[in-house]
Amino acid sequence: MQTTIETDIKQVETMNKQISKKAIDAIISELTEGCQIFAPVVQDGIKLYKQIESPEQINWGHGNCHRSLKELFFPITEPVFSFRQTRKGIQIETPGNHNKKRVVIGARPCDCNALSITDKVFKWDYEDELYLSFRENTLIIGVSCIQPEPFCFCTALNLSPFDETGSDILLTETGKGIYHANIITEKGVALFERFKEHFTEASPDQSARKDAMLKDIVSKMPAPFPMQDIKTWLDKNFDHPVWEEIALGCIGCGTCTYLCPTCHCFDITDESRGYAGERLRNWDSCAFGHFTQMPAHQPRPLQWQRFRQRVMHKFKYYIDRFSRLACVGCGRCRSLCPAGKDTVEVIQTLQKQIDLAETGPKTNKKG
Amino acid sequence: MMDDLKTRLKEMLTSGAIGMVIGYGQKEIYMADGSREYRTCPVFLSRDTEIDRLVWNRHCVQNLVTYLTKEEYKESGKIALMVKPCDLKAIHVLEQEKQIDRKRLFIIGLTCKGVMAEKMGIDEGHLAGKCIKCLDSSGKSSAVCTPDEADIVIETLPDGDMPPKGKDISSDLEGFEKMPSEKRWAFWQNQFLKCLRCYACRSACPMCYCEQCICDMSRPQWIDKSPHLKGNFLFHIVRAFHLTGRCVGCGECERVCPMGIPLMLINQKMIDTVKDLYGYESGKDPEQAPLLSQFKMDDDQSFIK
Ligand code: SF4
Ligand code: SF4
Ligand code: SF4
Ligand code: SF4
Repeated sequence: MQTTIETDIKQVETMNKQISKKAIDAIISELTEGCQIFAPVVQDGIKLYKQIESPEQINWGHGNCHRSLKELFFPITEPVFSFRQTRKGIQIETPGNHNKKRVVIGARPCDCNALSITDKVFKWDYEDELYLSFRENTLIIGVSCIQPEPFCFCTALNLSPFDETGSDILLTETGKGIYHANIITEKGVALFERFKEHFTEASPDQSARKDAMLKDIVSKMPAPFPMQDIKTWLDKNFDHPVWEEIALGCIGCGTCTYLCPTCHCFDITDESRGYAGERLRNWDSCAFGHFTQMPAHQPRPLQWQRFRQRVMHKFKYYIDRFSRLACVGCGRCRSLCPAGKDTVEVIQTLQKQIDLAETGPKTNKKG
Repeated sequence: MMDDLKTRLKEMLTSGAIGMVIGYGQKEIYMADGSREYRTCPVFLSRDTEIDRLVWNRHCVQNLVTYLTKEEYKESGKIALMVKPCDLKAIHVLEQEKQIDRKRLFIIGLTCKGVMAEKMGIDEGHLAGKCIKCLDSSGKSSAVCTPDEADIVIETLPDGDMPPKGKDISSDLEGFEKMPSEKRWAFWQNQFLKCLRCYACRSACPMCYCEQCICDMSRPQWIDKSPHLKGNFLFHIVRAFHLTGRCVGCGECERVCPMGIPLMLINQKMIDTVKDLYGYESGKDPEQAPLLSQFKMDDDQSFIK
């Protein structure tokens, strides 16, 4: 099957404005009345998206949060409903926290873009109310990466450290305390209209400066990988012997999937005491042996088969189904794998297989 | 010494005496700024032409013993494994618990002067907390594998100057224990709130080899599977109990935890307790019976109240 990979969702005509750090703080302060605000916060040496009370808590430093933005829409653990057995029968209650207005500020473009990827699956054959109501009620102010982290590779996947997809407003620091602001979506426009007095028009100078910055940053980052060719190779090589080799060393810890902004697998469990309890959904991972364990059969008994699943899901199945790669190159998996497995290396190994198949002797296919 | 080792391993691979070498190697990785860096990581070599990839340096942190009980490596024939003296203790526990066949192993015992502390994927720039006790004040190391434990002993020490020592895990624990109990409670609440229940700590631990972990069971669900505070406390208490008298203090669980939870504080406490009460040190001797399967009339029983 040949499907093309899209990189962007529909782009709207964006407005280019300018805003100072001070004005951003003022907006945030005002928004804390009536809205929940989430932003990167450093606590115990680890940066996470947390709810904040005032703009001083925001960590504006470079680099991404340890756990991705997905946790604000698809929490690590979340009650789907609670139940209670009474004389009149079973009472079911659904969680009520999904309708509060929320604003996220300081999310990185890869994390925001990843939401446009997970959106696809959460409104595919079943509309996932929990996720979608969080999405609906949240406005996202992204921040461009003017200093990518050592393990980032968004550019290799045709994305950009200034990518607008997924943000309602995207801020780019073009001078000290000065931000270029792209107003991208209707939600973004609404916020802009409300706080108009804090924004000024972006000068042509500033827009040019932003473009130059982007050009400079991208020129140093990895060039695009031939993901389309890799997809074509994956279409044909589920049984290729290279998989076993690629996966050597993976201990199945699940770190890569738990931290990944696009991985979205979950498990459902009931927890009850006496006559009441909750049904919860928790993150799960294809790296785990019991992920596919069934009473009579285990389709992926070995770690390399699970590793292949992860790669296939990101670089083939997701394209087949939704025309998107399920990776944004945030680099979390490569920087944190305790066994030194590296998604970029995997892509490069597959690339080598393609080269080999084109030039060298054909590798033996396994039965 | 590394050269001798490599020659020997090549011969053994060619003759079929071993089927695979699990050791440390380096690979080039692609950085965002276009540069290339070298990273030390586990390598799995089954061709003699690959043997030259082996290295032994201060970044050989991972405990490779973990791989021995994983299904994927059971069919690889005899395995030659690079082991630091602290990792060797994990082999001893697995032998005690009849999980591995020593005859299927060719142990490459490394003489060690300490490896670097790694946390959340980052080199902390000082020695690992577990390493301090292996070194005396002059930096001389007691971390050696003896020839009767290892099949070949590598005497080359990692080159280069001594990195800063960092903090010893025992002094960390001492400091922690001085805190009042409410503070300690708050500390762990904070830490366990972060826990994702990814179980990376379990996947990395050489002693966590159970095919069916109690934490994964859903019928009955002994332990809340959800990563909320209650479930996380339960998990960590169970983890501590199941590793008491078995944990060798290799530090892998803490190293791999993506949330940076200081699990070694718990492990070290259990290690100390077992030693104080029963004079037992896990992994010291492959012949000794596991702690929980021995009983002596004069065992301390003060814990029964
Ligand atoms: S983080 Fe590494 S070791 Fe853990 S499951 Fe992913 S690839 Fe395997
Ligand atoms: S696969 Fe890795 S690099 Fe890609 S989005 Fe997930 S964590 Fe980020
Ligand atoms: S302690 Fe760390 S490694 Fe273990 S389950 Fe929790 S987050 Fe994962
Ligand atoms: S519990 Fe941690 S320190 Fe102890 S043996 Fe397992 S991985 Fe090593």
